[in-house]
Parts: sequence; structure tokens; C-alpha cells
Amino acid sequence: MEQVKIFIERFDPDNDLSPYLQEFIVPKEDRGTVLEALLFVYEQIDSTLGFQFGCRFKNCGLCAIEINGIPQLACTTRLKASMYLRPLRHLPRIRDLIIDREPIDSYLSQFTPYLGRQRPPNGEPETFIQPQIAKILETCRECLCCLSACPHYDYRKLEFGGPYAFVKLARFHYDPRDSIDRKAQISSLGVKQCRECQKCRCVVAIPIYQLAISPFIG
Amino acid sequence: MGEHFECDVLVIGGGGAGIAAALAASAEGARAFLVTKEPAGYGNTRLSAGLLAYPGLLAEDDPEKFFRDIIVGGEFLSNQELAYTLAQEASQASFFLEQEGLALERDDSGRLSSQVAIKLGGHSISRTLMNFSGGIGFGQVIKGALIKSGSRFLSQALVTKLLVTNDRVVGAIGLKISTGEIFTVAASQTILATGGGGWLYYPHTDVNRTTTGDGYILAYEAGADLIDMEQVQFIPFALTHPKSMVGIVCGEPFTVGPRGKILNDDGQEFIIGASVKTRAQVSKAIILEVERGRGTKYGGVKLDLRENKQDPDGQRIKKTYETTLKALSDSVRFAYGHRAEDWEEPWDVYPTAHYFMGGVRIDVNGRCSHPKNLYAVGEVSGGLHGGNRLGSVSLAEIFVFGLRAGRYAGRTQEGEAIPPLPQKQVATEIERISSLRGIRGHYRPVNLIRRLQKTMWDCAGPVREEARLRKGEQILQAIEAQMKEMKISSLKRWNGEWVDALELSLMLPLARMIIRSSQVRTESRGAHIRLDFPQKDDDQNLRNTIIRKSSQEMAILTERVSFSRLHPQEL
Repeated sequence: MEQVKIFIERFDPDNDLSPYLQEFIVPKEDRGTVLEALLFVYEQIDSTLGFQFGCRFKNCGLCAIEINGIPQLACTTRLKASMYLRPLRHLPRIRDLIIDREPIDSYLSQFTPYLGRQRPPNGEPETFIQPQIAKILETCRECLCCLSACPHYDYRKLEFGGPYAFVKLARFHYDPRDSIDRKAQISSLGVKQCRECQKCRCVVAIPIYQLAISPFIG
Repeated sequence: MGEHFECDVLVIGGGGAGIAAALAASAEGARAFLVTKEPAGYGNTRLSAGLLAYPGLLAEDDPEKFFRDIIVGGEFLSNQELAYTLAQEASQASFFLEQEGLALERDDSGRLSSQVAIKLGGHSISRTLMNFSGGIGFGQVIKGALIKSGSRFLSQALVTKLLVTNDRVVGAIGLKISTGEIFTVAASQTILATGGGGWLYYPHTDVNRTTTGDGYILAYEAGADLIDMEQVQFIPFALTHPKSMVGIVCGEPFTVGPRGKILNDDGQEFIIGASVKTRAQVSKAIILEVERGRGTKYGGVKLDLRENKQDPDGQRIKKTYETTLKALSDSVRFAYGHRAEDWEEPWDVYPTAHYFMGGVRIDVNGRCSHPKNLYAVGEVSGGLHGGNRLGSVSLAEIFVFGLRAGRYAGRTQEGEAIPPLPQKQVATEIERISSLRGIRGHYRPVNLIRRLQKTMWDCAGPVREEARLRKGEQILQAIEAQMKEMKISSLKRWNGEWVDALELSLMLPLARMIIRSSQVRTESRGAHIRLDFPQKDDDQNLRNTIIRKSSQEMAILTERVSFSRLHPQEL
């Protein structure tokens, strides 16, 4: 079987002064994925490699990393020779490729990231029409790739919520059952600072700029 | 030592059942505390296809019919009281979820009606609703509800042991994975909602990485009974290649539709009418066909959906695969290409470990008979589904029983003082957990886990027989010896080897339980297929397998199934 070289960024804050690249040689399976390569390293070469995964196909978002500088899911990216694997940038790192999601979650929890009903349901079950836009925004895997792709975002910069926050709140804006002024929230999260570069590509093809940014800038 | 927490109701597991339990306990005025290995709201609820049973949607449907379908689909092994409770209350699941923000697919006038319901295998009537984003929407809603409630929770935390004093669970101890610190919790009532154990069959499973069945062993060690641990559902249609996609689910019997065909390698149809059969029935047909040597080079069979495109009902199913079930289509495209995704080419499929029907034995309030202040809800509990689970019933179950147990535990704890933690048990467990980090040995824990997983698939997987089951037990004993010589780095933060070792110490006895129960059930019933006992025994002598800890040993016995509401003869 063909063997390929990959380079993985390592960093253990308890033991390393700074991040460094480590080279590994892994087999290239038929239509093999980057996640497969990470598992090979973990199982056969170096079990101190820190990385996360969950569902193995595009649902949980936990295997999101930067591959050759582009934030993607390791489970849906085909392995190629000489790939550089790094943790998602702009986010706090725990170790190696593992980032810490908790600060992002607690930040967002200040903005009522759940349905804000003023009126109870109009029946059991309710009768209402959910717009397609809300449904599309709900397909967000919460992988945080968009935050990494956004050149303006950094988790320490609290005045700019970033694409992920805009997507989460816009989903409620379009929901007819929600009574909170989400436009005001998204505005207070700095949406007007967006440079409209549209680099926030989404791994499940949510049109982030069109649905969750552009309508809230004007 | 890390943090210590105190609460009235401890919930272990942060999926649908766990979060529902925490919310219900809080609503009773109890201080709830939820501990989860993943981020809260993750796990298999979020990964599911988002199919939710709603009995009574159609005028011709009612809880009685739903109850019957559960019992018949489960081949009469079910605890009928659990099934009856679920049938009566299942519609509460959708009300609860939509109150919290879920928006199930509706018809053009905005109603949940017969137009949007589908009929999954084993259901006698269409009663399953869908969600555009699948399980993702469920995961987001439960996470949002937890945040809204203000309940405290700890994520990325692995509970390794329940602490027991005088036959009562008084708390828990475990490892906070991201920091490497040990934590303890003291609680008046404890609810397990840890999900199933499909990861024991990796890669032949569609479950999440953390689904290692921890709760079964936590309960067992605390003195609870487990029921029908041999009943592991292998959902019929999962991908067989390439290597990275083995075991990923792509359908259930309903997928076959009106004109789909399931063919062996010679192109012969070996089962007909699969779309209305149960998962156990369809998987069994596929498994035995391949066992007879008529499988494809990938060890699967062919699911040919082409003719469905010429049928309106078939087209309707195709539409769901383009919308609410798009995640399944995407996996087919990634593995097999565009033509397969478009139903222009058959899919190579084989069953994959999907769900554990067996589990911790409970009553209708999720309580264990012993210890009395321990509960189990959701997939970790056992007895509801008998020998086979119907699709879309689990998402209803987790909310019905999660809410019930949370309510019950929340009321029961009133006035109860939080007991002190048993210091000797705590010290012993701290020592056990800590001593693993940095041990110098020979075996990577993950390699031992892979050996266990391969053994489970080969020896206690879709097909069982005495010789293979015995071989399985022998290999488990060999793995146990190897566990004494593991090597684990001394990293503190997110040490994967350390987590592997702790999970392995829970997976191994679970593997043993599945093997033992498989040996005891000398018949083929539900998901359990014995090549050496291919027939179902007489329904009159139907028995559940029960496992409990007795004098430090794993004891296994059988008990007659009580047909409290529906007798097999009435069919």
C-alpha cells in the first residue's frame, strides 16, 4: 500500500515551549480520510497524539481541524500526501489538535441561544410554518470551522461574535415562535464589523453570509 | 484532587434522556447536576436521524395499537408495563421538544398530519415524524433547554464508579478528561442516562465514539440488575466499504419502499416485503444469507432501490433522502458515488450495531429495584423494547422516561440530607485512576480495545454459537491479562490512553455480559441469532436473562416474562 507523509502540529502547554510540526508516515487507504490517518498514528505510532472525533461522518463536528490551512472535518476530507494538520485557529487550544469549545458555549449562552417564546404554543401540537431558512440554519454542526475561517474573528475579541454566533441567533430570528429581538442581538455582537469577505465557508454548505450576516448588516 | 460537587439529583449522561431528567428534577425544586463525557447535548440523540414516533397522529391510530406493535416487534420479550407507559405518553415527547424549540416537519398548512407521517418497519400504521436537520435539531434543543434551566453541568467528564453506602448510591467519582483532574459528586438520587454500548463493535457500528456502555457496569457494580444483555440491534443497512465508512448507517427497512429489492451476490431476491418487517427480521435474513456464502466480496448484500423511482410512494421516500435524511444520502455519496446516491446503482450493505435493547432493569419511573435511589433511563435501561426496537421509538422513550425519572427523583429527594462520601471507596478509586497515568508496560490501551471490538464482532456479533461465544470469553480473559501490562503516557490534559484504559475497564465486563447472556439464551429470538439454536422456543416458556453481581461474581439467571397485558396466544 502507498505510504504518505503528513505533518501534524503538536503542542502540550505543560511540557512544550511552543508548537512544533511532527512528521508521520501513514498508509493511504482506498479513498482514505484524514481521520483514518489520525487514527492510524494514534493506534500504531504515537498514542500521545491529541485529537477528537465522534460520529465518523459529518454529524458531530468534533473532528474539525485545519488541513493545509483550511478548516474542515477530518472525517470527510480525503487524505493526500504532505498534508499539514493543525488545530482550528482563533480558538483556545487544549493540546495538539484539540480545541476548547467551552468558552465559545459560555459566551453564546449570554444571548438566549434557545427559543425565546413570549406566547405559549397555540395548540398541542402547534400549527405554524417554519421558514426554510430557519431549517437550513439549524443544520449547523457546531464544528466551529467558520470561526476559524473568519479572518476577523478571535475568541478573545468579545465584541465580535463571529459567523457561528450569527448563525445560531439568526436561526431564531427566522422562527415565528421566537419573540426576542435577534436583529438587535446580532448587531450587538458586532455583525457590522464583518468585512464581507465570505471566507466563512461552511462544511455542510450553509450559506452563512447570505442568510446570517448580509440581512443583518443594513 | 480536583473538584467536589454536591446535589440532590445527579444525572450521568448528557443526551436526550439525561437532559430531560435534569430538567424535570429541577422543576421539582431539586438541585440537579449533570455530568457528561461529551459536550452537553451531544451523543447519539444528536447523531440520530431525528425520527420521532407520535402515536395517534392518524385517526386510525391509538396508544393500544402502538403498544401492540412494540410488544409484537419485540417478540414478546418486553416488560409490558414499560411499553404501555410509553405508548400512553409518547406524544408528550414531541410537545416537550417543540415547546423547547424543535420544529418537526409539517404539511403545507403548518400541521403535524398524516401527510407528513411515515411508516417505519414493524409499525402497523404511519406514526413517525421527521425533522429537517435530523437529530442535529434535537441535540440543539436539548442543549438550549439545559442552558435555559441554569442547571449546573460538567462536560468532558468520565464517571468511573458509583459510590455506595448501605445499599444506597451516595455519589460518583471520575476523571475530568480535559484537565486530568479527578472529581467527586455527592448526591441523594442518581440517574444513569449513559446510552448504549455500540462502540464495543467498532467499526461495525454507527454510534458515537463515547458510546462505550459505561452505565451498564456502573449500575452492575452498584448492585442493580441487568436484563436481556444479549439483545443488541444490528440495523440492516450500513455501508461496507471503503474502510473508513464501514458500519456507517444508510437506512432501515422503510428504505426498501414499495419496489426495492434485497439481493444476494447472484442477484437473487432472498427476502420480500422487507419494508414492513422489523429490523431484527431484515437483518437476520441478510446475516444468514451471507453466512451461507452468498454475500458480495465486501461481505454484504445488495440493496437495489432503482424501481422505487417509478412509484409515487418510492419517490416520496427518495424525497426524504434528499431532505430530512440527507445525512444518510451524503454518506452513500461519499462511499459509493453519485450514481448510488441517486438510486441508480445498488448499495452494498450489511447490518451494523445500532442499539442495545437490553440494559439496566427499571420500573415505570425509571427506578432500579435495587439500589432504591438509582435510576436508569434511555438506552442504558432495558426491557422496554424486548428483542427488537422499532424505529423512531427511542427518541420518544428518552423524553418520556427521562422526564418521569427526573420528576420522581426530584420529589423523592425532598428533605433528604446529602450523605457523606465513603472515604475508603473514594481513596481506592483515586488510587486506581491515578496509578494508570504514566504506567510503563507493553500494550497501548487502544490496541486492547481494538482486540475486544474485533472479538465482539466475530464471537458475539450478528451471529452467535456456543463455540464462538466460548472463544470470545477466552479472548476477554487474555485481554484482561494484557490490561495488567498497559503503557500510558504521563500527560495530564486530555490523555487519550488514560481515557481508553478507564473505558476499557468498563467495556470488558460489558463484553462478558453480552457473551454470557448470549450463551444462556439457547434460542434465536429478536436480535439474538444462534446458529446452533435457530428456532424460537415456545412462547409459553419465554424468559428474560438477568445478570447481577452476587458474591463478587457475575451471576446470570432467567425469569419468566410476565404477559401483563398481551398474551402471545391473543395474536
